[in-house]
This record gives sequence, structure tokens and C-alpha cells, in this order.
Amino acid sequence: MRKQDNMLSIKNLQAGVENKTILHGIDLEIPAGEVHAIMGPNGSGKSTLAYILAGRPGYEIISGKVRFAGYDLLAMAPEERAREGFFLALQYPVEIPGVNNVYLLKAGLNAIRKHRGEPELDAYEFLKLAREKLARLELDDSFLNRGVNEGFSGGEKKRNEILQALLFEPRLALLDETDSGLDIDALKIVADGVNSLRGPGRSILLITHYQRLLDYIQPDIVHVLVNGRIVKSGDASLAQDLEARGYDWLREAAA
Amino acid sequence: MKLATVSVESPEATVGGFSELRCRARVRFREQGLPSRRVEAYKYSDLTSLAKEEWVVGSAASGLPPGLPEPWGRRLLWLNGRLLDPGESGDEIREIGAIAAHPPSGLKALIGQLTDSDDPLVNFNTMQFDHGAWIDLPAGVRPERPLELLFTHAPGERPVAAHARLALHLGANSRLVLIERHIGPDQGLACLATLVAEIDLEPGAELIHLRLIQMGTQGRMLGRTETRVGAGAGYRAFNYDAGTRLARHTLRVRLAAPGAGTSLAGIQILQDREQADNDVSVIHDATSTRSRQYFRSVLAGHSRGIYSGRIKVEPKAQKADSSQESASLLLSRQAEADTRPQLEIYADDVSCNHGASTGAIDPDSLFYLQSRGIDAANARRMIAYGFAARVFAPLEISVLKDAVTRLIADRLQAPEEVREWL
Repeated sequence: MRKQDNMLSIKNLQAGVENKTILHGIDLEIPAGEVHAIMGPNGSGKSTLAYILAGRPGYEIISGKVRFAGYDLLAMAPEERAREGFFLALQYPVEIPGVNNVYLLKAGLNAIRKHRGEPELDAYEFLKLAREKLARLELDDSFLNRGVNEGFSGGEKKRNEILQALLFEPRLALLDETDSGLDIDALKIVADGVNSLRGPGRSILLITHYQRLLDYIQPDIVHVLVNGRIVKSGDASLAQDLEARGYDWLREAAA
Repeated sequence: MKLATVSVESPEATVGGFSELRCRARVRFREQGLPSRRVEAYKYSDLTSLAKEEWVVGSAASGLPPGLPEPWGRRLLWLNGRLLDPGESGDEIREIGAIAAHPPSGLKALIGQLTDSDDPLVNFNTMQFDHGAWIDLPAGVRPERPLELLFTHAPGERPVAAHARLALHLGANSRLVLIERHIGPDQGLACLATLVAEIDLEPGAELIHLRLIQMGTQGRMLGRTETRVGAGAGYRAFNYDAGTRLARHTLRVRLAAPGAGTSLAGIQILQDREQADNDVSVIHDATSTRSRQYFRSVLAGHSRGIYSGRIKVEPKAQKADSSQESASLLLSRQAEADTRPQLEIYADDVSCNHGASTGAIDPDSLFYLQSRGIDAANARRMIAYGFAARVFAPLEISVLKDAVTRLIADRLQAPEEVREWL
């Protein structure tokens, strides 16, 4: 990937589920090192976009192209996307009873490291690294030995997603409503974690409903998604406009 | 099916102390024969095909079978029904073959008392058993080390059968951890094991019973465990069925006095054409009794996992508290799970919950792990392992829990990232 290339480039993406079109032609470009935010009302297609980019089965791609770090993203299996550095923090992280968090974290990290040509970490090295990231998110070590998201509070689930992002060091982190369900203290911790990921080789895409998260993670560009289309893009001040005016004025513009 | 077609060597010579009991069983079995699928309790596990083999009882294999697992406690070891290693069997633990000619009064009083002579398997076993253990713990005795009864099977030139008996009497407030393990080879000729256990728990006694069936691709294990739980006593069973052509087990627990409790758990991990059939009943026969059933199966290939779970609450068993949960994870389209919950409630003031589920691997869980860089095959194995291992989560003896958890991980080929923490 050349330096000036986009990390993510979406061209005219139309997609949906079971003959229902949800995304009506998305165009979006995120250069390496930038933080973008997508805001939009309920049902605008934000989570659908996130899932399609991560490769969740069950969606129909009608048309369009997505390039990620030079690859044809939509042609890749979900695990290949992850290994190339695509990371989705889910809005609703899945509970997998009986599978300890540590199994997922270490298996995921080593699969990614192996793909990058880096040596895999042994148990000792892994724990050392994991404890450092846990401490940053103010999580207890016992977190590793609990079932994946099993019995976690809403805030713990979100922090677990960010823990994974910190360990995997993705090239593109897509955070789908990571702020929802967080109290203000947890939000600050999560935002600090996300901000620590910011850097020249890494892009971040925040999907959010509210402007609140953007007080803590300053985006370079804000896009507004309404009815499956990006109807407006602007700088961080756009988020404040939306907070003050709501989405209706853009809905009318989109109609 | 006629008895004459089953090759049975007369065991009377070694176990003369039970001649009357055996005689009754023989007469009864002659009427019954081996159960076909027309017998309701054996609907899924037809045993008539056992008559096709010429079984040899007690063949003289020599030496220890290879790949013998490490002992998990004080161990008695049998090969094809012959006691190879008596361990440190003392006054409380006696080998049945050795004492059958002159059985102690406690054993005579218990054997044949709890089992159901309507079950042909019981008679089949009673006619023929020639080894096993009689365990009689005096009141208040609580040995720290588990007791392991390891039954190994190795057919030589001909298919082998071994018929074992267990009788346990736990005195008031005594406690025992018992491991009953059956291991057969994964190749060669068929082997058949039967075991009937009768367990009597006096007030306040506690038995933790791990039962592991690993009889091999040609192995068949037919078992019945019958337990009477006294006042305030507890029976806890953990069953592991894996790698056995046919594992059939009838487990019946009678909560016979106020405050008695039981918790029964089991996992079946099957592949190819393996079949496991657990027929479980709990009878609440006194006030304030409590029971839990928690059975799971992970089924691959053309395997079949069967669980019949019955709860019966007798009219006098007010304040009974019972629950039953079963779940099957199907790893192939050809695998089959059969679940039959049966509730018979004759008291009014009871709490009784049950739930059953069967399904393939949850696609959201699979996607979640894949989206973390884990390939689909490893993700599936990880999920199956997590599903199965939970059955043993309540086992508080961590050494045993870890050992069984490792068996599960090996059996399900759990990824390295799972095994290295076990």
C-alpha cells in the first residue's frame, strides 16, 4: 500500500438482506491515519454497513466495490479480513459460554501475528502483553478466564472489544456504537484506549448515534448516513450541528 | 432371542454365594431375552444384535493394556473382568470376585435389592457377574483420595465380554469420590461390558460418581446404576460418554427421605456411527427433596445421542424442587439427537422446570471468532469444546475436573490455544 492510498475505499455499495435493500449506494474513502465518524438515525444502515465490511454472512451485495489496504475486501473470508488488519468492535458482542476469553484473544492474536510474519507469542509473553492492555482499560486479570462476554455487563462487553483492538493493533478499527450503554467513566476509559490506537498507519471509523463519543475522540471527518446513503460529510463541527438540529433537516434533503 | 444363543460360561463356581439370586435372574431372563426396540426403555438401543457374537467371558489376555491412563486416585484395575491390580483395597473395599463365595452380610443385604428385575439387562448381568467391587464405608468416614475402578477390555482371538457388579453402602455422613471408568481398544474385535451398580446412601452421606465410558469403536457398554438417597444425603453423578459403538446407561435415583438431593450431569461426544443412550430417572419420594439434571451432547458424523429424562414426584413429596436441562450440538447433518423429557407430578406444592434444545453451531458465535482472525474450523472446535466442557464446571475437585476437561479437549480436537491452559 502506498502512503497516499486510502485505507478504505467504498464505491457505490448497494446491499441488503432477503430482497430488502438497506444500503442504496455508499461512497466513502478513509485515508490512512484518519479518524472518521458515521452518524445517523436508527435504521439508516449503520450496523449493516459494519457487518458487511466485517464479512458477516446473510447479506446480499447487489453492487459496488470495497477496497481495504489494497485488497478486494468483499472477496475475503472474515478471518482473512481480520488477519489483514480489519477490526470490527461489535455493537452487541456475542456471548460464547465455556470458551474462555483467553482462548479467543491468544488464538486471534497469534493468527494475526503469524499472517504478518511475526513470531507467535507463547503463554508467558501473551499474558504479559494482555495484562498491560487490561490495566490500560482498568480491567481485572480474571477477565481473561471468564467465558467470552459471558455474564459481562454492557460496559465490560464494550471494553472487551477495545481490549481486542489494543491487542490486535488493526490497520482499520471500525467501532459500531461502542459508546452505547457506557457511563461517563467507562466512556473515558474506552475513548483513551481508542485514542491510543491513533497513528499514521492506522485508520479509525466510529459509528455512533450521539455526538457524546466525539467529544472524547475527535474525528477528522464526519459523515451522515440516512436511508442507506451518505447525505453529508463535513468536519467535526457537523456532529455539533446534528446534536443541535437532529437529523430531520438532512432526511428532507435526502428525500 | 433365546438365552441359549448367548455364550455364557457358568460363573457359579466362583460366585456360589449368590446362587439363589442368580437362579431367579436366569429364570426371568429366559422369559425376557435381550430387549428389542419393542421394549419401551430400549426403544433406541436394540440389544438383540448382541446375540450375533460369540462372546468369551474372561479371556486370558496377559499383561497390562498399552496406553493405560495415569491413576486418578486409589485404583483397582481389571482386564477383561480379571483383577490385575487390587490397589490398596482394604476393609471398606473388597473385590467381588474374591468374596462372592462367602459374601459378607452387608453385601448380601444390598445386592439385588435396589435393581429392577423387569430390566432384562439386570438379569443378564446378575446371571453372569464375576467381578466388581463391594464398598462399605462406615459412618463418618470420608477418604480424601478418590477411588478409581478402572475396567479395561482387550479382545484377543475372540470377542470378549465382562460382567461386573458394584455395590456401595455409604454410612451416615460419610463421603466418597468414585471414578468408574471403562476403556476398550479402538481396533480389533468387539468387546462387551455390563455393569450394574446398587448404591445406598445413609443420612448425610455424599457420593460424587464420575462415570467415563471409552469402550472403543467396537465396544459396547451396558450399564445400570440404581441409587437410593437417604435423608439429607447427596448423590452427584458426572457422566462422560465418548468413543464407544454403543453406550447404554440406565440411571435411576430415588430420593427416599426428606432433604435428599441429587445432581446428574452428562456429556456425550460422539462421531462416526457411535451411539450413546442415557435413560435417566429421578423419583422424588419424600418432602423437600431436590434434583438437577443437566445433559449435553456433541454429535458428529452419523452418530446418535439419546437422552430420556424422567422426573417423578410422588404424592407425598411436597416441596420437591426439580429441574432438567438438555442440549445437543449437531456438528453434521447426519447426526441425530433424540430427547425425551417425561414429567410425572403427583404432588401440588412442587417446583419443576425443564428445557431442551438441539441445534447446529450458532452462526453469530462462529462469525465473532472468525472476525478475530480465527479460521472457521478452529472456531467450530472451540465452540464445541466450550459447549461440552461446561457440563463439568460444577465439579469442585479441580484435579478431576482438569483431567476430564483435557479428555474433552482431546476428543473434540480443541485448538492449541484451548489446551495449553488446561
